[in-house]
Amino acid sequence: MNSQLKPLLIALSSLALLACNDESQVEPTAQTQAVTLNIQPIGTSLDSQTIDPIITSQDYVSFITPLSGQYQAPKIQTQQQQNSDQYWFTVTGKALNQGIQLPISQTNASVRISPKQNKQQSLTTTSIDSQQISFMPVNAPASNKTSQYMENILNADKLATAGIFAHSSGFTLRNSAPIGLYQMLVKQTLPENAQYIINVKEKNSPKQLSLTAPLATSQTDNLTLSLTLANQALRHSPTAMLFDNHGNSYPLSVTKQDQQWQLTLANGAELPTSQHLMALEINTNEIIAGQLIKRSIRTAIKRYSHSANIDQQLQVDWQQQLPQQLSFNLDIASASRFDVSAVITGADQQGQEVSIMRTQAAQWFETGKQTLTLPIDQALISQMQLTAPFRVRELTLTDQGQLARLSYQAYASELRLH
Amino acid sequence: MKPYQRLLLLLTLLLSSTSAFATKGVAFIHGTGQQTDALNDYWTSDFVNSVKQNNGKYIVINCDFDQYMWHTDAAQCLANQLTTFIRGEGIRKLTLVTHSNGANVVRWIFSNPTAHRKFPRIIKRTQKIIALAPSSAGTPLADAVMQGNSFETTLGWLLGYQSDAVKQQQVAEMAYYNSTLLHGTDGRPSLAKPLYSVVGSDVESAIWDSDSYCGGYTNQVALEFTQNWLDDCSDGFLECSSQAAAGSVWFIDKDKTAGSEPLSHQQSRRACFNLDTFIRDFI
Repeated sequence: MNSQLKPLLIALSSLALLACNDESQVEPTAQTQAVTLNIQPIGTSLDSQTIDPIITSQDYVSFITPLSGQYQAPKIQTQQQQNSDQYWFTVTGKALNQGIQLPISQTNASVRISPKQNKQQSLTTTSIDSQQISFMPVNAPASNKTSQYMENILNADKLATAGIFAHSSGFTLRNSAPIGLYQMLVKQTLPENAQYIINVKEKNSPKQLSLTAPLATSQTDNLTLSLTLANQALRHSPTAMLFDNHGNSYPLSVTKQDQQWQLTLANGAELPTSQHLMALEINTNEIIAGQLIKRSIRTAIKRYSHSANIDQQLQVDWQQQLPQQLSFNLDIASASRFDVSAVITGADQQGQEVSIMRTQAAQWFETGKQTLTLPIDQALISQMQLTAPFRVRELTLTDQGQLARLSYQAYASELRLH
Repeated sequence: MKPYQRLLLLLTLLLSSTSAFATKGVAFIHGTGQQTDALNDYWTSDFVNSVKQNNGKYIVINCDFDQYMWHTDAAQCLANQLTTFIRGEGIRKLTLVTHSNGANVVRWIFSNPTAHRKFPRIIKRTQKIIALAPSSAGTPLADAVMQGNSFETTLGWLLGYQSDAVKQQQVAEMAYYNSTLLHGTDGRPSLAKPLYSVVGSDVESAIWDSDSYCGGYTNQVALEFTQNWLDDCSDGFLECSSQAAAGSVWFIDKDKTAGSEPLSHQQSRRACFNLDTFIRDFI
């Protein structure tokens, strides 16, 4: 017999026997209790801005995940860190035919040239014949040859075999090629207005651009971040551009505030919010030890609307000395599908706090005061032989429509029937 | 004895006398791309037929994983096909075999069980997830093809063309999803069912080596070039750290494969170096 069915069969048998033997049913004791949650009042007011929700299911759905072992608080990540040892920029076919300058700060750097075509445009993709590329230090004698500096020269058809960078060309700098400023020129005649991405990758360069930024910010929050290059603060203001999911770009103003950089829309308007992540690209040019170091970095920014709060009053239904369900009151400012989840813990015989289950429920709510009920698996508590105090931990409110975590409370309440 | 008591006893006897409820099933869940015949176009019959031997019923999923993982054509399509399979075949012990971005769609379902009414049943019936080269922490190659939002013409066959799935698999996007919406990575809640990953750690592409050709890369120089955008430990598309970011590592290719051959990103969905038999036995 399937081992997973055994407990079920035993339970059913016991239930059946119990039902046979015990003709006089005992009514379980039920009680409802109001509990005040340990939720700090949120300073920012709710935001009623409507964002087209991604998840639109209307149904009430609940789910319980059994847990076990001594409770350990998770690490909640609110910041992200990204590093970059590369840079990129867009050039036209005309500029490539005239020649562009590339600062190289690492031996064996790789250079990739990819045609760029936006969805809105209908430019013909023209791949570059890598044999038509001239690449030499800006001060090199005219008698020098490109082959002195380049190796692993790849045309689009060869590069395509690696499964990535289709239509692109590329090459690697030779070990013997000096670092410094190079001139790259394409002899093949290119459409003047065609656009190309030039990407210089300096793998494992110690001159890394590091970015630390919040993972998510609400509409009313400022967007601030930290940037260092080779572990040193930037001396020059970087440039920044925000891209939304539809390909729209927003030039940003970057101003220094203490040790951080604050990003605002160049026209002074409020930064946009979106149900999707937005891409933030930052470019820097710094001089280190007399050498120009160029870096680009790309990260994801979540800008969400603060669409709901959990009210401080929680209703707990008890049955036979065990919590049966938790009813949370929600204040909804913008209609969406909301999920509330919490970890329930109990005490073992040694008094240690043990994880019992993660319970969660979600439902579509219109604006106003709403209630969402989370079930509790009493059989699981009994089976684990745990007792009060029960605790509500990791209380999380998620707007599934925006894919955003609206609030998180590491410890929300103790449940104890007095 | 009252009627309901008799019914309860009858149900108990029925449950104990039938093995139909223990039916095993395997679902093959493809990676990035819109599939209509994933059996032939993504997995190959050799691989699927080998893995499903002695492992009950099977289904090969065909959905549009060019979409974001939560999209109706991705997670809900997957949930619909799995639910039909579970109901139609009476599956009680389901194993999900995923490749690449397919694991992210599965993790979306297992991390957000309340997002759709079909998700809870799938989670309950699933025994384990075998994630072949999962892109759990994204790939710098997705970042590279998105530079300056230029992703339209710089993709290749590994990522497809003009897709939200490419955006999703950028490193920073996956960091947000992992920190907020997905379970199973370090410091986050565990998935409701175990996820075991197989990690591809290297790429060999010598055209004269028939072993290396299984699944196939042919151009070493091109691979060496793209590897500059990845860690030294990678399967040609994903860094080892990304493949190991969610769940637990079942094995790293060379530790188990025949001849200690590495599994490139293409080879980890083929019957290469006994990968198929390892999975079959593990199920």
